[in-house]
Amino acid sequence: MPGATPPTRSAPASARPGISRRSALQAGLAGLAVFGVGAGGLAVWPTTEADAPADLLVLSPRTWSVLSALAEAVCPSGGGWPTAAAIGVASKIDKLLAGMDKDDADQLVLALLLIDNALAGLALDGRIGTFSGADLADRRRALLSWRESALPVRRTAFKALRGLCASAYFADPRTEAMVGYPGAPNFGQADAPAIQAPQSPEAPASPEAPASPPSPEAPAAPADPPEVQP
Amino acid sequence: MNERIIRGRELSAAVSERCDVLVIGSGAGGAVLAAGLVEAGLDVVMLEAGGYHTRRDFTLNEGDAFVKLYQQQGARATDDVSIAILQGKGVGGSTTVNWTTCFRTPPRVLEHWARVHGVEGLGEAELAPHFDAVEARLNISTWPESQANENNQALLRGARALGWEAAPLRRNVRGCANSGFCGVGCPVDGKQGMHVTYLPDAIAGGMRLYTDVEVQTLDWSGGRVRGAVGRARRADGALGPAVEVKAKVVALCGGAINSPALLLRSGLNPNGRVGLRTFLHPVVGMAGRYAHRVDPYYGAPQSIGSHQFIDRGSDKVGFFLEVAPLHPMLASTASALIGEQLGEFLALLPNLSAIIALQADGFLPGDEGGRVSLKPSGQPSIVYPVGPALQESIRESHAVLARLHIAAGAEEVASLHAEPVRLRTEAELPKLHAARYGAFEHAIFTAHQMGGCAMGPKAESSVVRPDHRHHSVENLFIVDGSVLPTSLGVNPSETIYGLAHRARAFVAAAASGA
Repeated sequence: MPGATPPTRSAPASARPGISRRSALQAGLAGLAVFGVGAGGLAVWPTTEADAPADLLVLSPRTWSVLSALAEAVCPSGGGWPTAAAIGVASKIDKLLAGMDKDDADQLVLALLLIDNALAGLALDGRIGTFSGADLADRRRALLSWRESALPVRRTAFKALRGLCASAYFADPRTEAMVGYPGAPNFGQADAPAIQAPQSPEAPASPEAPASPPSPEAPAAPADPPEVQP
Repeated sequence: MNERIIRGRELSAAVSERCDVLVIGSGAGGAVLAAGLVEAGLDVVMLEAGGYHTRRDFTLNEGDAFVKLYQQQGARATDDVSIAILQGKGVGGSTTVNWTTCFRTPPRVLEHWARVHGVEGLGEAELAPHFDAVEARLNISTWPESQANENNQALLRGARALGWEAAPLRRNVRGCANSGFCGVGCPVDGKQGMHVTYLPDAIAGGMRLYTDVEVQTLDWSGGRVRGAVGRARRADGALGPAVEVKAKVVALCGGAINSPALLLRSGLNPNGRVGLRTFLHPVVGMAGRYAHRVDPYYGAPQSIGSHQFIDRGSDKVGFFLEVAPLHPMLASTASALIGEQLGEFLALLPNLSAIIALQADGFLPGDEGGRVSLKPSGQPSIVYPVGPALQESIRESHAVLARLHIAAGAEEVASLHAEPVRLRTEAELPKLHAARYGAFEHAIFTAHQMGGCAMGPKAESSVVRPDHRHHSVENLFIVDGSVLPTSLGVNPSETIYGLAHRARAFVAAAASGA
């Protein structure tokens, strides 16, 4: 490559400006400590703890309890909906956190502690006591105040935690009947070979005769699946 | 087990490999490139960070699929979580989970790249043979309008009633069962993703594919790269043995976001351009509730599209229109509702249609998109500001989406604002105009990540040359969506297939002459 100048190695990524910075959530959460809700303040009013499972991977019994209280507020309840506890939303999220980038998982755990914090609740929402100790209506009011907050960090925490709870709940087949979701037909894929063989480009094309979409009443069998040789 | 597919999660000892070309990433870029290199007689090793999954593993459950088949278990997002980022992970990359929509790169985009970014050699005629080739291999063809599901028919019906352009889309499928489960892994291998086409081709020709191997750094100095160093990831999530590959040529094909992150982890950013100009086609949507069943989860997810609003003048962001399939989990994340309101929304699912507007970012002067940098852990950090020009196009998108649903016969239309804006007639459109738009005001998604390692003739303003060669590391190529100088205004997969097909000759020549 004539004329090219060999590059020099950049400084280690973590030492460079703009890269060593904390993420928006982390920086924002740290900012809340200005309100006096740092680590010392978190223990002032104890979390109302539920019976946490013994095999938690990331969450402590305390943060699992906060997340359980939050999941109950996010997910529908009554009217035939299974409860978040029955679906095991908090424990499902604990497993997800174990597979996440540690930075992200740490921030979500910190967000749970801050949501539960009594002083922050009093300062920002006028709530007396912890989030986990509040009744369902008050917890939902608190969550909506985070959703509408002028503080970006509260909106971020709301969106992240709400998304995790809703995803864990609605991905569970036990909620499908309430949604009216017929679920997936059985395409027999469980019996497919473990290794994918190349598909021939000469095989018949599909658009001339595609199958109709499955109907919810009688899920259609797939069109002839392509032959897959082990 | 095919001996050329080595699952990193099962490795018990460190691995050291030598080859002609190391390809990092098995998605749209890496797979098409690797198959061509093998065909040219080169010895190729491919490293893929995700797992190897075939249709046998596709349970069609969203929760299971997102953990296995999407970056960060489906939780990838901008740092402030205002934009959810759907991006595939695993053998085949995003092609294993995309919705199969294929477009050649629009001529107006190629002209823009030449005129504004100085990219030569990417004319419509020059790319045509490459698109011809990938279209033949992947059976890319137009999906019959008569087979469009009701979710897509709503878009078509609305557009025709309003006198707007709309047309059937092209898809890369063969033996499609019209199931609607493209996003969680095709259960019948009807989708012609890389995992059933170019990757098996390459493996049959001798390529060794290592899965579950996360590349930590490129091994480079003095303007040449020697290979890469990675670690296997065990099934329990712990790091496993080291994997080191030395190669004459390295092709980085990790996609937008991951490719710039690897360059940054490797300290390879001589001009400070890596990670800049990252584009997302930010997506906003609108739900329409119909009196009849839509079943928005069944049938080909995307089969109708409209580019009626792609060109809104030189001072405005254009957008294009498609639909999104609605399975329960994805639908729940599109809303900001909680409690009973959330339950009431989801209970409408069988009667909902979701039309979406994808914003064509990166074309206006000064539109620099977002930026990829690194978190302290070395994982990518993504920041994407939703500025005034995007807010304007998103506002206009909402009016268009509402009009489409109303014209298509929806009983009620609801935006995805934190508190949905609801309307039943066009007379109520001022309610939408009065709403707020931007980050956190309503749901924003992306399924198209582009840029971050832009292609261009000048080292000071781009990362790779128009032949995909790194500006200052002569035997390093980048062949994926990260090289796009702007977004596309169409779904990006076929552009990446075509560019990778074109890049085969450049990479092969470098490996043969090295």
